[in-house]
Amino acid sequence: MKFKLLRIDLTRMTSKVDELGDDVIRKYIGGRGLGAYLALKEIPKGADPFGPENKVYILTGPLVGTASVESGRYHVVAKSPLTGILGDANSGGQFGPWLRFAGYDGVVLEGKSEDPVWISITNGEVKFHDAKKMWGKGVIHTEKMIRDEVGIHDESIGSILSVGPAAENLSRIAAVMNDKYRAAGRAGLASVIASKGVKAIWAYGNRKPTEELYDRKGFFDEAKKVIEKIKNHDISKALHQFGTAVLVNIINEHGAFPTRNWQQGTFDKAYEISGEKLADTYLKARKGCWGCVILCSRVSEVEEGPFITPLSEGPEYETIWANGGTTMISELAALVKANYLMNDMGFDTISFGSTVAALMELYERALKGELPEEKAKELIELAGDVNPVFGNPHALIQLIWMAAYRNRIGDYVAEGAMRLAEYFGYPEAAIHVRGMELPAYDPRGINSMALSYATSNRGGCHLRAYAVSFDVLGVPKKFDPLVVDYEKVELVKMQQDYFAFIDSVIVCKFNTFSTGPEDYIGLMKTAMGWEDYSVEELMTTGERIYNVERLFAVREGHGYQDTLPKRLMETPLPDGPAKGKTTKEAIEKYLPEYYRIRGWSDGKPLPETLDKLGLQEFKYILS
Amino acid sequence: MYIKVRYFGLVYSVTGIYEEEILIEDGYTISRLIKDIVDRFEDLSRLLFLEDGSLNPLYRITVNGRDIEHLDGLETRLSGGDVVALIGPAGG
Ligand code: SF4
Repeated sequence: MKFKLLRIDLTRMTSKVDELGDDVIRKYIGGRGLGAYLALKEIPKGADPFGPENKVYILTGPLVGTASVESGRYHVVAKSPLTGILGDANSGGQFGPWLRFAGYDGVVLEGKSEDPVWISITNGEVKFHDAKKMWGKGVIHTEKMIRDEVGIHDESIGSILSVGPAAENLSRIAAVMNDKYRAAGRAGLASVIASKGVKAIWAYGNRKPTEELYDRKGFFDEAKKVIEKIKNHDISKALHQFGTAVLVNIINEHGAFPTRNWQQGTFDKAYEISGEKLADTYLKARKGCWGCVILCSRVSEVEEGPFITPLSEGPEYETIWANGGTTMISELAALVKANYLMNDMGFDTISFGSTVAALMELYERALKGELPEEKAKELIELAGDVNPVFGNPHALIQLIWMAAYRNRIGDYVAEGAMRLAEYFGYPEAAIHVRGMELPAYDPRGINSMALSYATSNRGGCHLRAYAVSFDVLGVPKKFDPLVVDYEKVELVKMQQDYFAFIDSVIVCKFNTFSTGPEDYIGLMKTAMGWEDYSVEELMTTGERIYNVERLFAVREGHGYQDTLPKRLMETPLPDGPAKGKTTKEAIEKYLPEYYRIRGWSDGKPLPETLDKLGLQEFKYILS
Repeated sequence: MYIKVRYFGLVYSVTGIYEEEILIEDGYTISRLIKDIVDRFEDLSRLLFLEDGSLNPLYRITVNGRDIEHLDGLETRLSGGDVVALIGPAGG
């Protein structure tokens, strides 16, 4: 199977197709892996993330749009304006499959258009359209305008990827949106798309990726086994019933639910914003991405009151936490509304809520005289009547608009927590790794997450290794989240490598609760014709991808910063079962062992590691 | 003396209550608590126990936020004011 890569040059308004064969695809698969490889080769060192030299890779993988193995996904890769290193983000919905149906396995956006455009890809044909009228519009209205133009209003036919006003205004925390409510959220990549003048991509066509499978019948036999395994697993059933928000109570109970901008580990009103509460109140339906048998998405509606919100998807656990727990906002209806607005404006809901929480802490400190005087004065003035104090849902909602259009204090929120806190003279208020705001698990209470966050190649992220699964949920086996245990280092590395494959092939990460690498061997053999494919090769591929991502950071000069924010390293949690804990011991003990098993030294791959992984072409980066 | 018991996720789907207080006596253990709860919510036994009678490892039990696997397991003793959580499978 050849990987059909559409290259769109926005400077010249032209396009061409590259066909990638096994020499590249067997090493990098597709999605995240292929994106990392191409980015390292093609994006020059020191590139301005908003400059024409940056490129955006919007890629599917060989399983996307084939069988119901949660394969309705795509991946976006580019140099991130938030972190300055390689950024990548994954999304579900329908866009990934429809891009393949439209004729291509991936799209690269290159150069820069003078005027805003939207691009249609229909049965292989690429057209550029004037998007001036769409510029400034929210994601939902943009989708409507495009569907009006193409004349297809049935939302199950064709799919749209777009960016919102947040990206147009170059917010560093803007999310790539598709199918209205799905987001490739992290790393601010939507703003890179907007910086190229692209507002949206429409994908539609009749290509059938299943007809290109090496052994179609064998593939569907293999898929059936995997589908059964996923469908019958208790975690899949729980995800269907309560969605990811079921974690609110669980993580809070374990004292690892970052509250008051990471100044506490428990929120006494957690139940009010939990998945159980959502199911009893605003939940109207459950939904899935293309080809999903789990259906973890929520469809919610707030029918009355100050936070009235139309029927829309979400909110997820991460969104609820970032905009609820860490900001101490306990009105669930407000979080449903905020989620809807963040999607429409095109924000990464994790980074946005975390930045608002940092603002709330800064504001509180400004009022108490704990910021430099001039900065405190400026902050209070810019905040005006917003009153960004912990627990204020109206401030959260108002800030979404203000940040999207960069109005007053919103102009600073749009920059993300790190730049906001640095500007106002109190960098400690930003809880981030490499500039990316951390997600919803306090590593002081789940110590494997300390290693997972610190070594994440895209910055503060829970999806490189989801150590919560073994430290809290007991999958594949249970470890004590408060005890340092070297076996966990091996598991973190294993997950990082396995997940890199999952993001490349691409299937949903929720499959990994019920399936292991061995479950994908039959699928790869029958899809690709790689008769000798093995678990060992799959894991080596994941490891190769992880090293390529790391090399991007090393080349940019970021190779040595595997650490966590000062607050997590030095300030003990004041409450809950993890009271008294910091991440210092875990980081100091885990990192050397992690580097040893990775074949890295001080965060940098050793030359022999590159040899082992077939990455000789990148050895120049180490010299 | 009283303890608090919380029910999360699929466990909550069966109990229909999020939290309750239960009167206990000296020497009361998790194993006894589970027996008492399953007596009231019979459907829970199908969820909590595997066919061989062992606890389904995807269902977790905590006392004051600590998983009983890191305490004394089912023999973990409870005292007044303790908070127990019966946690259904989850992912995110
Ligand atoms: S499990 Fe959820 S996120 Fe994953 S493919 Fe299904 S609906 Fe999408």
